[in-house]
Amino acid sequence: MASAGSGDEKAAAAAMITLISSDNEKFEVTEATATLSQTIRHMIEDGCTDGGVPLPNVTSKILARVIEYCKKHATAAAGEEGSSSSFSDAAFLEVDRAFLEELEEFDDAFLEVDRATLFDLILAANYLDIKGLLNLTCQKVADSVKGKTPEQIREMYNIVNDLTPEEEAEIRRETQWAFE
Amino acid sequence: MDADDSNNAAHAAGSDARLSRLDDAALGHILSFLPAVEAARAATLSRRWRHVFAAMHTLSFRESDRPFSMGYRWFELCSYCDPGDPDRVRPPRLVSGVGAALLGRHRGGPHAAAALRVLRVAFDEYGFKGGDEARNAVDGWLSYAAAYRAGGNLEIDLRLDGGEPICKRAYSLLLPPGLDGGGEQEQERCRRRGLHRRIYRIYIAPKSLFSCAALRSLRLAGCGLDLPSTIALPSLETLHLTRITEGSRTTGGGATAVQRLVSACPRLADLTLEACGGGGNLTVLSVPGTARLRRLALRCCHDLAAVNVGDSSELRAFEYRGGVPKPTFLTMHGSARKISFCTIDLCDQGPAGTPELISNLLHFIRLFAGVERVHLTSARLGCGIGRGAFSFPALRKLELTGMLPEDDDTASITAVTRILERTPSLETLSLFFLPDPYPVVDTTGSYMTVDDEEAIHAAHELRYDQHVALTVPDVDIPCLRERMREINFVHYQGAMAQRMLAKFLLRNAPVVDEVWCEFARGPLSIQTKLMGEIKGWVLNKSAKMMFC
Repeated sequence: MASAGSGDEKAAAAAMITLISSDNEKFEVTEATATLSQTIRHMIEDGCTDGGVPLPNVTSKILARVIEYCKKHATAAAGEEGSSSSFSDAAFLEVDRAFLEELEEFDDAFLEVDRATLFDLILAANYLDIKGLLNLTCQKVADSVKGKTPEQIREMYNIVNDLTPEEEAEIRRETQWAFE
Repeated sequence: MDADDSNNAAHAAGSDARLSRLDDAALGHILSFLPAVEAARAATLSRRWRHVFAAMHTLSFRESDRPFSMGYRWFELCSYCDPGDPDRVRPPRLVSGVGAALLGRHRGGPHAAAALRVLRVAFDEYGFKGGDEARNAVDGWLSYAAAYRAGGNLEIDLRLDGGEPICKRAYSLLLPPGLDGGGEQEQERCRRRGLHRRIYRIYIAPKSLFSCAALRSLRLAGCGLDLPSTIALPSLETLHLTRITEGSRTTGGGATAVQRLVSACPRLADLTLEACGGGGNLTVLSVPGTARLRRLALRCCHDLAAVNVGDSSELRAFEYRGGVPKPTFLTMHGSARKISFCTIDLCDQGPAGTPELISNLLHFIRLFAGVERVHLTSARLGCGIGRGAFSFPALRKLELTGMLPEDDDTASITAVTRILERTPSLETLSLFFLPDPYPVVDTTGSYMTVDDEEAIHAAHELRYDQHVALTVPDVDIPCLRERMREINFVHYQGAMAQRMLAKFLLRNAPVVDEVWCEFARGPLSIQTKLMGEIKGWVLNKSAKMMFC
């Protein structure tokens, strides 16, 4: 990066963005990678990324993982220009199975993290508005609770049932359609 | 209880309690991946979760989920059973449940509910049984979705057809006449059933649905269409229609409803038609040039004789299921260069036997000369396409599905050889063996039952005859010799024809580095023998081999 050189290299350097984690670590990423985050995309559009983008809600450990995800998926996004908000893209992506399979393998491996990290990734994806990463991580949590009873879910995620019996009865009445 | 609570509370202070610390939007996002019934039950987790249901952007209701699958309350059964007046049928649990769920989103006040992106309702257990109450309810859901949608991005998925398979035509090798379970009879049955449906049970989608500017994806199954005179769906990209009947008050003369709908979507990119246009309602389909399709799937629209794609330059994937199409079936205007994935599934007997069918099939296949990946299904594995002049220069991945009957012996080797000679770039070959034909004649007209599945399993057993001599030719096929990296066998039964084909392929493919074989059900001892045999055939001894 540091080597001064031709105009080409300068142009490439100009497209780099610096992200600063909550613990003050700096990450240099390409604009294509950074703009997978809608939040950062808007910052770039507003021209307020000079001197780096501070991300006070994201630690360096989590940011490193987020960037890893974005780098991998930026290539996919480049191929699907202009359809960032489309939910039906999965069907089209099916076309390029080989690439999709590779991405899936990456995603599977990416998700092999402990629960605390997973929640931090959800928080970061939510804050940075990275649709793909948010879907991926939320789906993982959803899969883990699918088919479980409330009691099992509470146990899994250490959720304290702070509802009074009256409140619980009321909720059951309100959502009677979902209970047998 | 108290002790437990404090214990839990102490635990909750640790990192694992973070799930509840996510904001409503994130929790709603998580619940959006679950069936709505499960998501709703999450309200009883704790106070934090009480109103998260309202933050969900996707609601998926399936009749097969409990408690909806319990159907009708017992005290309503009498009116349901009364066949005399179908319009007095009381609605099932699903209908009242969806209504209650949608209202429940607003319990926290007018601003509590998140904008709706996706509404999916599938009557996949009993199917839509009609009745005014149920009809009005479905109308109401659609109006609700249109009113509470998220900007210009709404997906509606409404399936009323009881989850029936789209078509019951089976694959059949040439069977003696009289044993044919599909064909004409079946069509007649479908037609009659369609008629029955039309009179009693049809739900006709409301006209307002077809002027919903935010609608991006629409899937309808088992509905009737009675379109308004003006259709305005400027955002619609994905359209998936299954078993659509023309409304009772059909649009007189000229274009059919499906055609009109397709013509009215300028941004259409992904079109799927399944079992549409029976009874001659849809014989010609034209996709206008303004819609630059990226994916087109036509399954079991058996009366469809001609399809015209106005602009095929963006088409990436094409799927077809049905009989062997005539040469005039598909006309594409513009290049077909981008089509990289093609699925062709030939039901009934496929192109077996008659030269005319084979020549028709070749004509069809030549339309997709540039594809990288093909999945071809026919009654007899690899049937027909080897005999004519065609080539797939860019094909990297080929999947063949079909039966390989015992009497086949070397015919399949010849057929596969011919195919491989025309696919110089092929790297992956997958063979899916269907079980041998079981002449089950379906007389009841009901859809697949447990018996059928048992029949499939019964026909799907392992065998191994160690005394048989497997003599296979040594050949020199460039793609097999130089490029083939991966060979897969699925539902491998060890029948002689399958073993010969497997041996032939593996013996002639020196650079294969991955072999995958999934056995049919059967005793481990036979599996072990077949596995040993396959391992012996693989030339590259360091290849990755997986058996299951």
